[in-house]
Amino acid sequence: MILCEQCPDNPDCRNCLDALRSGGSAQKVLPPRSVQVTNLATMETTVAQLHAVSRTAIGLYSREHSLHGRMEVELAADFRIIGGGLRGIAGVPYYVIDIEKVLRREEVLERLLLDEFHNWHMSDELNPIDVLPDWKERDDKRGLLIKQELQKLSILRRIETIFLYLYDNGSLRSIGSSRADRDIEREMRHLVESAAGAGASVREQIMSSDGQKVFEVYASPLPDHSCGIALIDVTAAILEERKRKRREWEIYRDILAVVTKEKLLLLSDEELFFLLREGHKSLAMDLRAPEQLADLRRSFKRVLEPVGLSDKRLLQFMVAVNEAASNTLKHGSGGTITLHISTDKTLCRAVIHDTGQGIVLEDLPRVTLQHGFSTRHSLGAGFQVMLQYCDRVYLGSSLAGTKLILECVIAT
Amino acid sequence: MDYRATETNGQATLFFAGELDMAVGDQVGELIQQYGGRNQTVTVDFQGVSFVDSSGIGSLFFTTKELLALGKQVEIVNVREEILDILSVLGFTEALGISVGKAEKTG
Repeated sequence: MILCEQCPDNPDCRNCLDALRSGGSAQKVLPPRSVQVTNLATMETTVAQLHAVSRTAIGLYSREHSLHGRMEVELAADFRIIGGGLRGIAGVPYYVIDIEKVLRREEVLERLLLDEFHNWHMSDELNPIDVLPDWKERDDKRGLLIKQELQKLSILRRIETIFLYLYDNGSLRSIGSSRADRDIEREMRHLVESAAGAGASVREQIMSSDGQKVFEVYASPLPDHSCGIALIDVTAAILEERKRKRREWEIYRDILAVVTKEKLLLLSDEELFFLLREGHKSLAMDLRAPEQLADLRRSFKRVLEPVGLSDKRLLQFMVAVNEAASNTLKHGSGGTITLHISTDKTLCRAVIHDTGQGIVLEDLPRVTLQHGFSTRHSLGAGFQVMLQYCDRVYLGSSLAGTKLILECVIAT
Repeated sequence: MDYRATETNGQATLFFAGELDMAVGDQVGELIQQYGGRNQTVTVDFQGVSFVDSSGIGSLFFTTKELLALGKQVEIVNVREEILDILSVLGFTEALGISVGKAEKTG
């Protein structure tokens, strides 16, 4: 590409730089970069070659379109320059854009920060072809290796959810085409400082201060005592995984309801909450040891005998509640058991809440339906008993634990 | 849970009374193991048992299975109707294939 008669053979030539009229701050962009330029009057876009930059102006080579008037130059989606374009060198399609504004993700500047520009320039779109001019022909091992590494980098840089940084001598520098928000970078810096201090790799998750985004941070000390960091925005993946889990949960819920003739219903925490809002709590007990089970049964009997449950139904209901309560001890460290009686006194509901690991969704059909199955050693028929002896069983199982509601009709 | 035991000519009878739940299951299992170890036949009398759960009966189940594998005889007798119903729902009667009935003999 010939910009003027001297370029690119004469490194000392300053024609393109002088045209910026910025004094000593102007620098050549080597190799020149393709950038998208939009004429803000006509909204026509074209691709031009960025040849020179200074704090107050940039120089673009555009053979196809003239760049007169107000232009927007897009370096990256969150890095744009707006300014007025004029012919820079007579007889050559070289234009100078005087910078009005530099638009960054969170701020608008009136000057181009050259350090920031170089980060962008050096790290973005570093094509193998730019680094190895004869890369297609090179087939020696070293050339192949370099090609492969550059290709890897090209792929990484195209992924908008990965941010790359280098931590060196206490300073954190972005080496990708874009940066994460500042609060995330601050959080990340703490992690990286500890990784660099300990000389060990760190992998952690961090969350944006508004709680809307989740990132994975991989920090690895490098041989030159700096630390390389990959920050990956995993918010979309987590949301997708939640949706998938929700769909899976709904399938289990529908199947279990059909198979048990709607005797076993999976409910969300919110649905469980609304279910229990009616009626009043007659009993609450914290269960921490098997020795308390007898007390629990006695307390239930004391409350339920007067409300009109037959001896047989009372025993069956207590067996079911006792099974659910025992499960909280088998699979965790116990739980809370409450007894609610509906306002019209036609239903009683025992709520067994344990903060243990909960029931894994995949285990639900077998735990609930297969005779003798248990995720721990026992006869494992607890759920069978609950289904047999209760009029309805509601189950909410999440990472926060399992909540079971055993319902018994007092009068029909 | 209370118990009392008799042993005559290789025949042990264990009379249990009270509630057989998670808290006492292991203790019941150990007793049956202990008496089954030195007798050919163990009769477990449930006349006084007023409550069972899967954990309590689970210990009895595993011990009984071991004794049966050793060629011993284990029998549970005098089970109250409501307790028999629970044992049946728990799958205990099927799982062991042993005689669970309302024998006339009482403790």
